[in-house]
Formats: sequence, structure tokens, C-alpha cells
Amino acid sequence: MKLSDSFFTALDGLKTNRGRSALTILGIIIGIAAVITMMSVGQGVQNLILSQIQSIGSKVIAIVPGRQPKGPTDVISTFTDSLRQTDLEALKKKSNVPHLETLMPVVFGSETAAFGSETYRLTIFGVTENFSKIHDLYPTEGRLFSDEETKGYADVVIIGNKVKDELFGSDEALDRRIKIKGRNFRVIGILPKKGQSSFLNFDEVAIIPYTTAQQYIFGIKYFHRLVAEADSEANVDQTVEDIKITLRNSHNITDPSKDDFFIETQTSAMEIVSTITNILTLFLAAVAGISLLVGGIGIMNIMLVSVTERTREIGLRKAVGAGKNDILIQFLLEAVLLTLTGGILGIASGALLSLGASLIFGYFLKASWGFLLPLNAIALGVGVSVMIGLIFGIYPARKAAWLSPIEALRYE
Amino acid sequence: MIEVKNLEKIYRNDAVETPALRGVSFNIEPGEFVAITGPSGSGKSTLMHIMCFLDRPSSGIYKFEGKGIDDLTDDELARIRNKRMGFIFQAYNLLPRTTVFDNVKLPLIYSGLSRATEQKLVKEAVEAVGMGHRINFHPNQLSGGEQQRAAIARALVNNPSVIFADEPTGNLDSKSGKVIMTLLEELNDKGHTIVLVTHERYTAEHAKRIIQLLDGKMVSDEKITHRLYARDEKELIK
Repeated sequence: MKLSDSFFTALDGLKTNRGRSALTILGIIIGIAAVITMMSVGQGVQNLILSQIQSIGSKVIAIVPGRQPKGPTDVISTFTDSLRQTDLEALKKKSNVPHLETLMPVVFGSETAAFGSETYRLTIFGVTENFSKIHDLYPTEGRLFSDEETKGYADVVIIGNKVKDELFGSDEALDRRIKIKGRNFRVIGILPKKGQSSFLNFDEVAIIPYTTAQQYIFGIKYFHRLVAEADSEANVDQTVEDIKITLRNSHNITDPSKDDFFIETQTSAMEIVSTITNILTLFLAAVAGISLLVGGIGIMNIMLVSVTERTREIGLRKAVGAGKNDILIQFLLEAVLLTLTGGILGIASGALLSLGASLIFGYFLKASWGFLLPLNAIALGVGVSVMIGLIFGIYPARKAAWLSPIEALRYE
Repeated sequence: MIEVKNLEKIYRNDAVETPALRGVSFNIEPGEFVAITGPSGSGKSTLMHIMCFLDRPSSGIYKFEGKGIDDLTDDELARIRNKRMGFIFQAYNLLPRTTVFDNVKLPLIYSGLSRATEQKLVKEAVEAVGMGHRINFHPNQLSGGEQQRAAIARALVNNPSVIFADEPTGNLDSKSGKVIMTLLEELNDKGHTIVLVTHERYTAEHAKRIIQLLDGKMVSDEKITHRLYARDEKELIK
């Protein structure tokens, strides 16, 4: 039997019951659409997070106190006080870490700021003037604080765009004083509107010298993290190693598994995020895949009904010379044609859903990943739908192929 | 051409054995027009099904053009049915929602011919039964007689050596029945061997030879001396 004949025979079989065929493939359409949406959204979210990490800069190295968390319940180890002033000084020595260009201690926390009767809860970000260089973020009004101000525990603050709006409205903010934890801070700079970036919303921060933050706001002697920058991208790995050795010396650690700090670079962060989002995407796609299983059973059901309904047709075809394989291929092709049509429609609706999702998320999060339809998702959608047709079509098709022609012809 | 020897068929249903054929023997030569007749339950349909390779005997020998049924696989039987046999059924067995053209083409799609040859053979067969003007009609747009003529076109499209007709006039009025019998006579004149199964004595007398069955046994095998010709009749009396 020619393949084109098999194709048209199968197509005729499906056209006989248009409504039923359409309802049957609905299960496949929904299943494939769900898988495609999950994959597309998963990929989009991953790209969004990765682009946020990339905005930190590839030369940036973050030194975090505590042990690298081993799992979601392992939170406590991330909050320790192992990074101190002595570490800062040890790391700054050229002999210890030759390729270190900048080193910035960071302390942060949530506090309420007040101006007159206006109050606003914001994030205190205790750093040095280097934060501008690291985050590529410079005040549009006013200035940065100086090294002297940092050393001198100055009460100066650079505020985010939204903080300015909340506390001052359209009034002049520069050189006004805002109250944080009972201390008056002079506003010396205002940051441009930036939005969410690097997991931190710079519109809602108050940036002050870390010395002031340690001493008067948080009352601590340690740092929440140290942010370093290598002199070039090529030297990042070397610098990470140098930092580890220096800190182990400084902390008297000989066994690397007992480190009380860990180091994150853009590369390592991206790897972790990729792993997590990939697992999540796979998991969501697998859940969506269950609906494909249900759809497949629907296909098998309808094909069995079709075989029974067309018993006489099968008998006739066999009588006039159709072999077992001719009948097998005819019904298998019908099943695959059903699922493939469902698959293609499913990919199309999945694409529409993902587009909608990216637009909605973009609107509410003010951060969009831009719609994308991964090619491997399309290939997977087509492949899986054909597979489902074959898997769930083989049993009804075999049943048809093995019908005895004489009983099939007699069938009423 | 057809050799039937001590043919037996026993249907086993659970523990009950129902013998349908109990030792039937005869030969059919090329060009014959044989009617197999007998009351219902006589085993004529069972015999017919074995003769056209749709069923297998319980014991005995059946050979078609020298090939024994026991030596062939199901798919080989299908090939021979496809190339050497034509079938006409009481209920026409046309595919609904499929044109006359496509119905007649059905045996050809399993014979691996070129498109052009298929077209030519189908047209010839449809013309031969006088259905050229109905070639693109669907079965539900045709009368019973026209449907059976389309079915005859399907039976001869592969130019088979033998045409098996199972009660071909059973569902038809006497006028249409006459047309069908005339067609069978013409086909026989052109050299096709015809095996006709019917329970109507009058219809059977249009053949050249009548084999009569009763309770699974052959009770008579006679040449027709005063053969009836449908082409000379106005209708087929029942």
C-alpha cells in the first residue's frame, strides 16, 4: 500500500467523525499547550534572573559569611558574624590578593526613615563610595560620600528615587535631614530611578557609610558581606583563590570543609540559578505531562470505538486484499494524525499562553523576560504527540489488524 | 482451478461442536459458472468462505489454482484474494461517505500499481457495469441495484480469474436482480469463472452447473440443461 493512500485513508477515517476527532484531540492540545507554556515561562524566568545576575558585573566577587547553604532548611548557617575588620585589612594587602581592585564591606537591614511627619520603611545599605562603581549607579543630584566621611562615621545619606518621593514629594530634598534610629542624616545625593536590579530595588534604599551603619544603626562589629572586584575578568578565578587563602589564614582554618565563609561570583550564581530553574521547569513540565497521559488514554479509547464501529470496513478491506500491516498502519496513522494535529494546535496555544504570561508578568513585576518559544519545546511537542499516537494507537490498531475477515464481514 | 476434497468445517464454541461441512468434494474448471445452493444452515456460506480464502477448513484439502490453503500464511492468502479473486456480497459492502470511484479502487490500493494504471482500471471497471455516469456519487445517492453494480465493478477491477458472489441478488428487487445476473453472465462470457451462492432455485438456474448442499453434505452436482439467460428476461422471478 502506498504511503499516500495510507495517509488519505486515515484522513478519511478521521473526517467521518469530525466532532468526535476534535473533542478527542482537545486532551492532547491542552497537554502539549501546558508543557510548552511551562517550558517557555521557565526559560523566560531563568533568562530574567540570569540577566539580573549579569547586571552585577562579571568582575564582582561576593564574600558571604557562614557556610554555603546545603538546602532550603539550612538557613541559620548563612547568618554568622565571621567577616570582620581584620579580614578587610588582610584582603586589602596587595601581597595577599594582588589582583584585587576594590573591596567594599556591606551591612544592610530594614529601618524606618522619617522626615517631619512622613515616614517610610526602607533598606539601609551601609557601604563605601565604591558602590557606585560596582553597581554602575551614580547620584543624579548631589554627590557620593567621600572616604573621609566613611572613616569619620559621617551622618550622610544618599536616597533612592522612591524614598525621595515618599518623604519629600516634589520638594527639594538635598541638604535636608532625615531621621533614622534617632539620628539625623543629611541627604547628600539622590539616585536615579532604576527599578529592580541585582535582587535589590535601589529606588527604596538609603545608602550610608558602612561605619555609621555598623556603629549607630545596627550596632554590630561584623559585615554582612564583602564585595570585591578583580582588576580583570581573567583574574577572577585567581582572585577567588587568593581571597580564600587569605581568609583561611586570618580565621586559622586548615580544613577547607570547615570554611566559615563562601564566595559567589557571577558565574557560580548563574550556575546555581540555572540548575534550580531547570529543575523547576522540568518538574512543572512533568506535571503538565500528566494531562498528556490522560489525553493519550482518550485517544486509545476513541480508536477502540472507531475499530469496533468500522469492523465491517476492516473485514471488507481484508477480503479485497489488505494485509495485517495495511490495516495496522491505517489505524496507527489515524491515531498519529490525531495526536500530531493536537500537538501542533497545542504548540500554537502554548505559544499564545506564554506570550500572555510574559506580558502579564511584565506588567505586574515591571520586569519582563520577553516572550520566547524555545525550539526544543517545539521539537518536544511534535515528538511527544507523535509518540503518544504510536503508544496509545498501537493496541487498537493491532486489534483491528488481527480481526478475522469473516467475522468482521459478518459483524452487525 | 478449484479443487475441493473431503472438506470439513467444525465450529467450536465453548464445548459445543457444530459441524458445518461434512466431507464435500468437487472440482471447478476455468470458465465455469457454478451455483452453490441449499437451504439456510446447509453450509453453503461456510463452503464459500473457505473457497475464497476468508476461512480455513478443519480438515480436507482445498486448492485454488494449485495452491493449497494450508501452505499459505494469512498475508499470502490476502495477496491471492487481492490479485486472483473478486467478491460480491449480499449487502454490497460499499464504504459509506466514499465515492463510487474510490470504492472501486479499494482492491487496487493494496496491489501496488501506479496512479495512472489505477485510474484507467477503475474507469474501465465502472464503465463495464454501466455506472460511468455515477462515478463520483456516494453509495447513499444510489439505488440498491446501482450499489451492487458498483460492487461488481470493485470485484472485477483487478481482473480476477474467479468472482465469488454471495447472494448478490438477495437484497434487490426483481428488475435490479435481472441486471446483476446479466452482468454476471457477461463476465462469465468474457472468461471469468463465477461461483454464485444463492438459496433461490430460480436464480441458481442461470448458472451452467448447480451444486446442492444439505446439512453440510453435497446432495447433487448437476449440469444445467435448460439454462436461463437473464439477458432474455424482463425480471428475475423469486
